[in-house]
Amino acid sequence: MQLVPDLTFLKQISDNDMDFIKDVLATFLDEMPKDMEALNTAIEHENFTDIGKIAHKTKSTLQTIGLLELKELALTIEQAIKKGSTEPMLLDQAKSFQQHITQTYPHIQQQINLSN
Amino acid sequence: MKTPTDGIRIFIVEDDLLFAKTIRYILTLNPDHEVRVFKTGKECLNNLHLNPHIVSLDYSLPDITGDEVLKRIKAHNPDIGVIILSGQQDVATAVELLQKGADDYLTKDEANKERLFNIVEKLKKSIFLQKEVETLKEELTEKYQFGENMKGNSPAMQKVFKLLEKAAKSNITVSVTGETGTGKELVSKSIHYNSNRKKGKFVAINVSAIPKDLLESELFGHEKGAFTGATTRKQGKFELANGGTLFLDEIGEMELHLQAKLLRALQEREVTRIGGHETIKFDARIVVATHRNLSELVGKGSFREDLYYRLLGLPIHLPPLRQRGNDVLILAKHFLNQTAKENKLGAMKLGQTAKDKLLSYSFPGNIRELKAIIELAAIMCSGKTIQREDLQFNSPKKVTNFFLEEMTLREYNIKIVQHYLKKYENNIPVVAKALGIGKTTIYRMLKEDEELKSKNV
Repeated sequence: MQLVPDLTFLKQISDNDMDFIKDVLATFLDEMPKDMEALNTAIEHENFTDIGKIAHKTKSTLQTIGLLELKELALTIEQAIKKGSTEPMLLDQAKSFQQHITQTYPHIQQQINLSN
Repeated sequence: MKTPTDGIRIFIVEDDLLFAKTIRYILTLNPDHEVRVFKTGKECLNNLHLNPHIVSLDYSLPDITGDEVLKRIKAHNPDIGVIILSGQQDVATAVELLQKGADDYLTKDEANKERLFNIVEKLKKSIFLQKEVETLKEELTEKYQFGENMKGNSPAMQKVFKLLEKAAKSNITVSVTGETGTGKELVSKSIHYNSNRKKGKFVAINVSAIPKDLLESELFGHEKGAFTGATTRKQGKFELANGGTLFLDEIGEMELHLQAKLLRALQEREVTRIGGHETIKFDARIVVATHRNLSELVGKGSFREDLYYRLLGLPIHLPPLRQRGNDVLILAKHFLNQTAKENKLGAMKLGQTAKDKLLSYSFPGNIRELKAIIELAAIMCSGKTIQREDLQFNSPKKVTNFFLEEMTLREYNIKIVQHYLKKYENNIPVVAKALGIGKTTIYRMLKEDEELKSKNV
């Protein structure tokens, strides 16, 4: 699973404005843990609706910072829940998604440090 | 094409803060853009008083649906441009939202710099055009102020102005009658641009100018394939006039079968396009005009009585110019000033001999004829003062001006009767009623005149 962000899009839209890119990455580190905590709660309560909403919400962030495989995973989870699936396998997938997201944090921090 | 260079206020409504920052960054690359970010639909709606020009709206918000936010934005101000940003490619949803008033639909995957910029620029141009249209409409309102384009001090016109004010303040149907060239369309426009419908369209249709087989389609519209030649759907004048004014000129020329359809439309306030099934509601003020005597046409059976009463509304009769006394000179001076300005002729005036000639002429073509006479006189005049010889009266219609000729009283009477017989197509009972004399009196006068003519031969 790709855990290192691909900053191509951010660099392209900002003409390599590193202050902007740092700000975006810092926002990821501020916001994503909150979403993952909410996801954790949803998984514990087997609340598939909330799992689907959080998966949907994270897609645009993951797209923006180039974590495309994780974005596809979020999409898979979202679509399965939309179709009405409540299989235990889906909970495992959501857990795996959450873990992978958490594993990106050091890589994101590293990118921030590199741009200092 | 120019675009507005003063600040464009853009709202971004997006609960994904990172994505919102990205969109904001892209949009603020243009220093003319003032961008605000809101995390929820409610926050956005609570700040609509800041009058954004454009709203970039996430379709899936945590508090209210994007659908609902779109609806309330458009209810607040339909001119706000709304771009829907969605996390998924869904053509059906996109089409539905565009039909509900969204101006564009973009998936978040596609939200790159160029696409966003292009969409925003397109919306800005449309905002600018909208502002231009509003400015033009304000100019039109000034142009059509009562007393600006419509001039006259005669008692007859003072009555008309009072009626116009009443018409403008209400939503009532107005029927305007008067000879050709008396200003029926001008009156209709003045009512529209002085009413609370002035921001809506003024849609005019001259019934006599449209081929009869096309008139129904012009009025009510048609669906694609409704008849040979109907290659696309077309909105009719009723639909186009929604929110504004529909002016039906020369309503007396409408055929009976179409009058029935018109009556139904006016009663139900809805139309169905030819070949269509959907009923379309409309909200337009109706103004009709005719140079003919509609009640007479009702009597002859060529105009429906129920439609006549439906259209009567507030009747405004425009007097012919020959009954407006010194208004001729007021109007002549107005047209002279206008022509001189348009043609850079410098200040011009009417000489006394010109004034006398104008006052003695009957103007069968009314104001339209007066305008043409003055325009020509201004151009052809060698000096700055229009004199008698500069005025050319070339009307194909001859309205007898009795007082230019010397006759006996009997001869005057015959001339008057003959004039009215011509006017009312030899309908003796109508002429008798109009003149307030008996039918036998008319027959006697005509007989006497015939006898006198044969004696003199």
